[in-house]
Amino acid sequence: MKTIVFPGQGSQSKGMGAELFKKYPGLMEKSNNILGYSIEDVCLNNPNGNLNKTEYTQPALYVVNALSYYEKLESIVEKPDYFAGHSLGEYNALLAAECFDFETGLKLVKKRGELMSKAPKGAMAAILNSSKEEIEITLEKNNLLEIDLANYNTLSQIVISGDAEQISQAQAFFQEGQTLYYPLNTSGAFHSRFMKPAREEFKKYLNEFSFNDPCTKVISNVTAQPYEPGCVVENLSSQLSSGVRWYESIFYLMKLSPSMSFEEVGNGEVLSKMIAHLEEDYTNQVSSGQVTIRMDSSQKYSGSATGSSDHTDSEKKFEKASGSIAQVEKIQEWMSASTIQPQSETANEKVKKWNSSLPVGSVVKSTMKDYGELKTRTQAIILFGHRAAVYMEGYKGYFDLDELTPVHKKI
Amino acid sequence: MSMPIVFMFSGQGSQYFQMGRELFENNPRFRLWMNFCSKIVEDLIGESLVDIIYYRNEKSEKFDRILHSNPALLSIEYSLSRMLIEKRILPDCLLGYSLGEMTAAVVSDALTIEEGLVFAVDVARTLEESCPIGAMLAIVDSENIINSYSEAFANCTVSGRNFENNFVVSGLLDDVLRLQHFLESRNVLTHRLSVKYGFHSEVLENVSEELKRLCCSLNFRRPRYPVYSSVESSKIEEYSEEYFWRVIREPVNLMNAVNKIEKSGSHIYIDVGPSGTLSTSVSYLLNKNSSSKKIEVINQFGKDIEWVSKLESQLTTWLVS
Repeated sequence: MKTIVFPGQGSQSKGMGAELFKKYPGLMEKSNNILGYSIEDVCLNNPNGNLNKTEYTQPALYVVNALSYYEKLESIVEKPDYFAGHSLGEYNALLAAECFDFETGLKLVKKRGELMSKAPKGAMAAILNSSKEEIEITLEKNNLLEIDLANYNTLSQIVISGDAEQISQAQAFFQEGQTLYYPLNTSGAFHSRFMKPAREEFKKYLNEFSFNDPCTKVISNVTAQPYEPGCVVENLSSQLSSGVRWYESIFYLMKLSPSMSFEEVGNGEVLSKMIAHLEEDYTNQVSSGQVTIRMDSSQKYSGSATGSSDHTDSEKKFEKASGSIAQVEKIQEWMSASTIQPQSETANEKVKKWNSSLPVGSVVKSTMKDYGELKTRTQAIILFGHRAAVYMEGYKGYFDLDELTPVHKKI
Repeated sequence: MSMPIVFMFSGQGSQYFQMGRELFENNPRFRLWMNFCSKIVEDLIGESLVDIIYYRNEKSEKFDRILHSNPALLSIEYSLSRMLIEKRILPDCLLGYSLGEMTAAVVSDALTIEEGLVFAVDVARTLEESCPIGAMLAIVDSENIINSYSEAFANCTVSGRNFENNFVVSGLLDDVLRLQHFLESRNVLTHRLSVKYGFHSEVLENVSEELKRLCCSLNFRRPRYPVYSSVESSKIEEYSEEYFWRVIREPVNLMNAVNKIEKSGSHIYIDVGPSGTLSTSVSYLLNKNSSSKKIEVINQFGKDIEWVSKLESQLTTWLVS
C-alpha cells in the first residue's frame, strides 16, 4: 500500500517550483488571477522576504505541492491508497482526492493565509526529545497555561504554540536531560486556541463552497483518522486551532499494512525525514511489545506494564539503533511518565523544608563548586516539574537544593 | 549597572580539532546540541561531525578541510550559544566575523541551523570543486608596509582589518607563501590561517557565480537580535539578498564593527568562538577610556569547564557590581 504526503509551512525555499511553473502555464495564469500577484515571482525572487510571510507562504506551497503532484501523475505506477498532508499540506491531500478543484483550493489557502497573518501575535517553539505527556505536565506545573501543543511531528519532536511571553518563559523548563528547546521564527500562535477567532471566520468562508467527499482516503490532521463523509468544513476549520496529530496519522497508516510505503510530493523532504524517524519509533515499539497503539477514537497511546527481561531486551535494541538513542530513551520515559509524580513529591518536601528554615537572603555554599558564599534571592521552587532549586544573588541560573549547604555565621 | 552583551562569532582559522572537547565530555547540554548539529551534517556529508572533531584527529593536526571545518565551526559556535542562552546568558546583539556571520544569522533566528549548515556545506563543496588553492596570512604590522614592499604584496589583497598593526591578506597559495617568506626575512611576524582558500579576495572570482547563487538563495527571516557586521555600515535589522556574498567577497573590517558598537555605549563582548581570537582583537580595539569588557567562553588551551565558570562569575561581577 502506498501513501502520498504533502508538506506544509517550513518546507518552502527560495527557487522552489522553477521548472514546474514553466510546465503548467495555464494553472499559473489561473493562480495569478486568483491571488492578484505572481506566485512565481514570490517563489523565485522572494521580493520583500514575502516567501516567509504566511499569507504568501501558504499559496506558494499549495501551488508547488499541486504542480508537483500533477507532474507525478504523469509517471505514476502505483496508484496511492491514502493521502495525508501536514497542516497546509492537507489542502493538497484533499485536492488530490478530488474534494475540490485547483482554483477552489487556492482560494481557500489564500483566505487561510490572510486570516493567519492577521491573528494576534504569538510564538511557537519546537521541543525535541520530550514526550507529549512530559510537555503537558511541565507546562501545567509551571503555570504556563496559555500554551497549546500544536504539532505532534514525531514522538520526540513536538511544537508548542501560544502566548509569546509564555513561550519564551517556557524555554527554562525544557533544557534538562535530553530535552532541547528550539524557537521557531513564526508570526503567530498557529494551531492553538489563539486561532479560534480565525477559525470561526474561516468556517464562514468555507461554507460558501461545496465539497465532494474524498475519492481516495485522506487522513485528517485533527482526528488522525480518515475523513468521514461530509467533514471537510469541520476538519479544515478545526485544524486552524487544534494540533496537527502527525505521528498518530503516520502510525495509523503504518499499522494498516506492514508494507505501507510513503512518498513525499512537494518541495524538500521534511516529511520524509520525520517519517524515517517514525518508522524507527514504530519498529521499536512494536518489536519491544511495550506499547499498544490504539487506533480507535481514543487520542492516547497506552503503555502496558512489562517484565524486566523485556525491558533489557528493548534496551539492547535501542543501543543498536544508532543515532536514535536519545529518541528511544524518550520513548521509555514517555512510557513510564507516571514515575514523575513521586519524584516531584520529594522535591516538594525539600522545598518545604528549605523554605521553613532558610528565608530569602540566607547565606549558603555549594558543595559542587567553590562559588564562595552565596546569598539566596528567591524562595526555593520546583523547576521542570521535579527539581528543587533556588536562585542566588548575582547568578542568573538556578542552584539545585541538593548541592547547597547553609553557612552558619559565627558571631 | 547593566551592560548589553555582545555575542561574537569568529570565522575560518579559529577552528581546531578537539575544540570544546572537555565541554563535550562533561556538559550534557553542549553535547546534546553538538550531536544535534552533527546529525544534520551527517545527512549532508555522510560523515559524523562529532567523529571528525573529537574522535578521528589529534589536536595538533591541521584542521583545514573546509567541507569539515565550515560546518564544524558553525556547529561549535551555535552549540556554545545555546549552552549560554540556556544558562540565561542572553545576547543583546551579535557580531560575526566572516563565516561567524552565518552563526550570527542562525543565532538571531534569521535562518534555521539546518539552513545555515546546508549553506556552510554547499559553499565548502563549491570551493573544493572549483576554487584554486589559496591562503590567508595574518600580518602583525601596519598596513603601510604594503607601500614599502609593494612588489612582495603584488598578488595579495588585504582581506581583513583586525586592529592596529594586525591585518590579513589573501591570495593564491604560492603568492602568499612567497610573501610570508619575504616578511619573515624582514622580521615581520606572520601567521598562516588554517584556510585553503583566499576568502574576501578576487581569488574567489571564478566561483563567484555559484557562490552568489548560493548566497542569494538564502531565505531570511527578520533577525531576533540586532546584528553588527563588518561589511554593513549600520546594524542589520533585515538581511538583504546579496548580503552573504558581500560577507564572503569583501574584506572584513572588525575595527569598524567594534567602533560602531562602542558608539552606542559600553558592552560586554563574549567571544563565542573556539579560540578567543576575537576577544583578543577586541582588547586591542577598545579605547582606553572604554568601560567595555571582553571575555571568551573557551580557547585552545583546554580547561573549558574552568573557562565557562570563570565566564559566569565574571559576568556576575560585571553585571551586579
